[in-house]
Amino acid sequence: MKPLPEGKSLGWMQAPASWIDSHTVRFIGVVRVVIQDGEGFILIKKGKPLFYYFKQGTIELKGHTALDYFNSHPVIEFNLCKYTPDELAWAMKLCNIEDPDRVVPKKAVVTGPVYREHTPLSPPADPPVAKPAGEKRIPDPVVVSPPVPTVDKRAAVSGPVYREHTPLSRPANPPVAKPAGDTRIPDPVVVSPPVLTVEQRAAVSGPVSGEHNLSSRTAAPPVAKPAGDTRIPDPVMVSPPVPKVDKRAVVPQPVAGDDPEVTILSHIRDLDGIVAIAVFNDIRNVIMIGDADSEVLVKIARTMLETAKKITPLLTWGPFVHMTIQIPAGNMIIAPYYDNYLCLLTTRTINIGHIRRILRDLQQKAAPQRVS
Amino acid sequence: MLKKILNKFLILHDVRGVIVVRGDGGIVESIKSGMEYNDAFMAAVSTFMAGSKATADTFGNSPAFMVFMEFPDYFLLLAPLKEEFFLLVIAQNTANIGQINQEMKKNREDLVALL
Repeated sequence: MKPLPEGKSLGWMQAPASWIDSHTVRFIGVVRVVIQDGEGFILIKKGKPLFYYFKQGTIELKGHTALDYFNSHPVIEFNLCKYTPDELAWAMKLCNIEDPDRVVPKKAVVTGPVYREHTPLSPPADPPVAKPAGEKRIPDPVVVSPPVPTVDKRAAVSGPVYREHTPLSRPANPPVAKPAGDTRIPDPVVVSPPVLTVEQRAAVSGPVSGEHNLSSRTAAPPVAKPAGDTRIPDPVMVSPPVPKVDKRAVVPQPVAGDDPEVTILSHIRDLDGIVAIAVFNDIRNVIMIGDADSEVLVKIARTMLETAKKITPLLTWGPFVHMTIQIPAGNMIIAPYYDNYLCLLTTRTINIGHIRRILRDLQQKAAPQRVS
Repeated sequence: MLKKILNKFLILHDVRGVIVVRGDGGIVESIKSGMEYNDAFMAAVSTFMAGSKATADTFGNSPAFMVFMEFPDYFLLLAPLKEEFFLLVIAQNTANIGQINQEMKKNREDLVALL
């Protein structure tokens, strides 16, 4: 895999992989993921994951397999890097994927029968992608389907599906899953973001070899098909995740427009003197942005929180607003933040007055977005 | 003599109490204005001291530390004097923190000399 464009870093964070899905509604760029010694990325266009990739040593995971691996960790470390349209286009070329928002005219389908049956659940924004008959040089996009035994034969019985020839989308990587020796069977075109199930995520416990994709390849998640209709081959997956299939849809719901947490926290992180920001609760570290060991940071923050929780009921002054501890190296601040707690690590250049102002600003900025 | 110095803090705008407290939470000296030091409050002071110390210890080498805790109307400001002694200022949120810090700098040596 060739290196993707750098993009503009919005900062390192630590959060569950699912957080990325639900907080990137307007984000266009790449989420660079680091897990242990491995690195990977998720290419995202306005909340729609376009490509998942992870590499550790010689092991390469793509598509659903990579996503499953991300999801197998309660928290992953990642860097949100914003792309310009040009950078995104270049990254998509490097990943050998089509723009899901691009409408491909029907006449682009060159020859041969297309057995893809229109599924009512498929949004029209994601048209089928055509591949010229006999074109074997063009790799298929990464297979993102997890193994589902009941649908294993689908690819074998599917009719040819064509993919629009795109000279620039030549493969850097060979097709990952195609029955060996079977050249008649075109690779299923999969341009949709992966669909997850809890069981599948739980099954992944560590990076597995790329061959894992072989089983994933034919394991398309069930897509709508009239019951008992044997004439109609199984539809090719060209649509984004179907809500019915996946409760935890990869495409985030367009809830409140811009994500308040990323926007506000990134803004604060950019202030002079702020070293790191974490959002945590009693159970886990929800978000981490900045240059600090999140575990150590949150451990200290929890000690502070414990103190605050012990003191608050003893006093009749109401809930605690914030607590700051200053040591020679800097300041550590905790404050309630929605249902969680915010933890800031700052340099000594920031004094308590400044901290109070930041927290006030944060509450003011967060409030309207919360309401929306 | 100690009370006389503590009074310099108490006369600052919206400062309601000043306490010299040991690292273990024990009270050495205290003065107040417009508030009560009841048992619950004293327990809170001890907890605050012990909790702050525990937090500072997690940074390693027991560094000198200052703790500020804010509530809707009041705040607590804990500042080190020497080794196991700290100064705790209780004030309303409208008090001037910079002024309190300035007074601490001016009087630290005198306070330490008396401990």
